Amino acid sequence: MAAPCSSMMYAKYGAAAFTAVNASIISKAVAAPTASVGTSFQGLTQQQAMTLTTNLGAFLVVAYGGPNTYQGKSMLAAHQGLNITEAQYDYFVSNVVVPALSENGVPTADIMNCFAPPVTEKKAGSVKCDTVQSGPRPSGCP
Amino acid sequence: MAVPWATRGAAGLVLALGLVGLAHAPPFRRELARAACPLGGAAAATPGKREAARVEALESRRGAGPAPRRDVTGLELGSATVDTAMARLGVDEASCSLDRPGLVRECRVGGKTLFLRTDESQRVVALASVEREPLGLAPRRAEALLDAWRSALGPPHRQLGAFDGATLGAGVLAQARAEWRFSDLVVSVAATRIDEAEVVVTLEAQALPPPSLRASR
Repeated sequence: MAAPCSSMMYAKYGAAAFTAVNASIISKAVAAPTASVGTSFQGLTQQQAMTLTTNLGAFLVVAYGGPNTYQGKSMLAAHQGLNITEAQYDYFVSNVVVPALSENGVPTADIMNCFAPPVTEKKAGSVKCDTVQSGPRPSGCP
Repeated sequence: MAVPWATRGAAGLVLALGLVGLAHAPPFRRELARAACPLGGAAAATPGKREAARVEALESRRGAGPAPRRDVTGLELGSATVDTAMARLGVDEASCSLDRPGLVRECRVGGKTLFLRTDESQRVVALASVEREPLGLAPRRAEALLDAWRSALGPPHRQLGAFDGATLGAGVLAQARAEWRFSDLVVSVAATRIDEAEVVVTLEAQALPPPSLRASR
């Protein structure tokens, strides 16, 4: 289960901070040299990029305790067919998500204690277990 | 009775919008995907456009002067062919999978995953490696990687956190990161505590074309 403070991050940092982190994540993902994270994001049309930005932003907001306006697919459905491996996911978390948070001024303590659980937990229905759908299953995922 | 042109135009617009809206209903989105509709699926961007997007997204990390060496990964990023890269890095094609646009090879080499990114002419423009290490061994591994790049490229332009047990032991998503930012090469080494027991050590090296070449794409 996510740490209680995960659900307090939106209230603590606010909409503008979440928008900034979301933009950083998108920008870093476009630059990524890996499969899925990189080339998928590089191939987006302007409309697709807007849809992705909206969905990702809304997902981050609800994952960290903000109002639920997410209208995208489930994590499982959204990543079907993308062949995302655990290595791709680990790259995304370490080289996209963590730098996006730290460069936008989120202290290390909040990254570790509050932002980490929703993206690192391994259990049925967790973001990681539902996103990694190719290659060996991450240990701890059903 | 003649229908005014404005009325006919408005009716046509309403009809067109209705058809577009109907086409976007879930049952028809698969068909839209084939037509490269943004809501239906990924449009078929050309390799050249994807490469331009990669370079554009890296611009904020472009440094002032050229890298002292560009062959530090064992190959000259930006000019090495895939075949050359695979041979130099000891990668067996059978251990690799190619992503859908045909631009990234994801290969298992020893205990790590290697990503080789090519441009539209199949030159290797970037590589990344991802490897997991037990928490107890990770600082030494990451420090060795950092030292190798430091001796090749000089001190990093940015460093966040120390590559040691104290930093990585602090908690999940604790991270040490070093970055080199040159005008033609961007490199980062990072060690990230990914769960209770393991650390992910990543290396990323990306070639940047001269701005004049970028403009002519």
